[in-house]
Amino acid sequence: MPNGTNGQSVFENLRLELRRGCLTVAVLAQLRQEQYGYTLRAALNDQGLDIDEGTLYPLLRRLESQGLLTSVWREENKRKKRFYHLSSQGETILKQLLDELQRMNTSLERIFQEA
Amino acid sequence: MELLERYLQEVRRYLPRDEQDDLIAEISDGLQTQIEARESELGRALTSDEEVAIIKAYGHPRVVAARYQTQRYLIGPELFPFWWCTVKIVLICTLALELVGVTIAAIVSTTPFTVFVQGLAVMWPSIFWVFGVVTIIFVAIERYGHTQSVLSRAGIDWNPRVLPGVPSDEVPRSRSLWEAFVNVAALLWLLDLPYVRQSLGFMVLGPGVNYLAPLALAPAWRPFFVTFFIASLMIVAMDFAVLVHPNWARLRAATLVLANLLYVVGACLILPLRNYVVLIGHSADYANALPFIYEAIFYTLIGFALICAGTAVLNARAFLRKPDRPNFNMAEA
Repeated sequence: MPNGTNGQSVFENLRLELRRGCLTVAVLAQLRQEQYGYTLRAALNDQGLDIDEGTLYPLLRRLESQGLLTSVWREENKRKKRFYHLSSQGETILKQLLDELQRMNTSLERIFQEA
Repeated sequence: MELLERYLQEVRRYLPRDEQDDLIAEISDGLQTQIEARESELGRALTSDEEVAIIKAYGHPRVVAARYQTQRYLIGPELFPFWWCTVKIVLICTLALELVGVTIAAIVSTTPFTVFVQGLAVMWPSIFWVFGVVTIIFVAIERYGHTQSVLSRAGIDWNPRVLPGVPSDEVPRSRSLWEAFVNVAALLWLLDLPYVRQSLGFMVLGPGVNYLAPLALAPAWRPFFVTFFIASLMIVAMDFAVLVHPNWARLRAATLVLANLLYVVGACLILPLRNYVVLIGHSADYANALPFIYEAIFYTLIGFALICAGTAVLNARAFLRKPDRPNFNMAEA
């Protein structure tokens, strides 16, 4: 059994790995409606998924470079903001990811029940 | 806002050049929105400390910029094991060659200890050179080459059928018998029993052994026979033990390490002698050949010492290898 501090760091590392994939799906799902960085972060936070901006913005750039998001600069409240939205390819990928997530949840539930 | 501008200036330095403006605009908007939201909650402007807290929470400028880089490692997980293996092989070969050179230079010098120590001191920068060159090559492969095709061209396309067989932990009895025979002969030769040395010489050299009759080992060899005698005695005792218990492979490896180190010590002690043999009687032919005989014995001793050193290293590795093999008997699992 891991001791106190070591156990906590082991949990944190594993928790980060678990969150990494789920956050991507959450971000894609949330961007079915157009949002910019701050409102997207706030919306995820409201749903119980906190993510810091230092992680969110690079994730958005990466998803955009992969063709899953589109972005446009627009002026709002006298300042230019970058608005993101799910692309058509992003919608396809999101659906596939949600199906995959559903399959994994079903498998996990079966494993938990057997255990 | 001056703090924010200084922070953004620092982040910009580490961003990809063609995306700096775009990324800084986005980061700036994000931070300013955070600041405005906090000011709206508090109903006042933020203090300097509060602004610092928001900027610090965003992250160190280098770390923030690094998140926008596409490749965040020098050598990826596919190439890493091959890089590490290459570094080890090249390092071992380089250091081994340098050690041989340093040893030979020390042996032939008039101040062997000083030369050896100085040679060792000069050897160590090679570690950094080897490490750097091999790493640069692999970084180039990672960055500009297609890893899978590079590995395939290098012959690293593995096939389970060509994997090496599982080694047996038992020592073949034939090997123990042969080793025991050779080392008993060496012991008898060292003991210089009547007719034994001549007979053994005849077994190895045939009638040609008579040409060695006018030569005898210099008296200075005698004390150093002890090291050879002890080493051969150890090996003979070990061989007879392993004949009875063939699975005593680690005992064999440990014994061979010690014995070979003794051979190396003995050879190194004899090397500076130079006048290894003496003439029995007077013979002009042999007297003229003595310098050449000395040179031949000199280089033979060096080769012998190197072979024994290498054998000691190999047996040390065999000794340190974990003795437990994976249990492939599924019925017992």
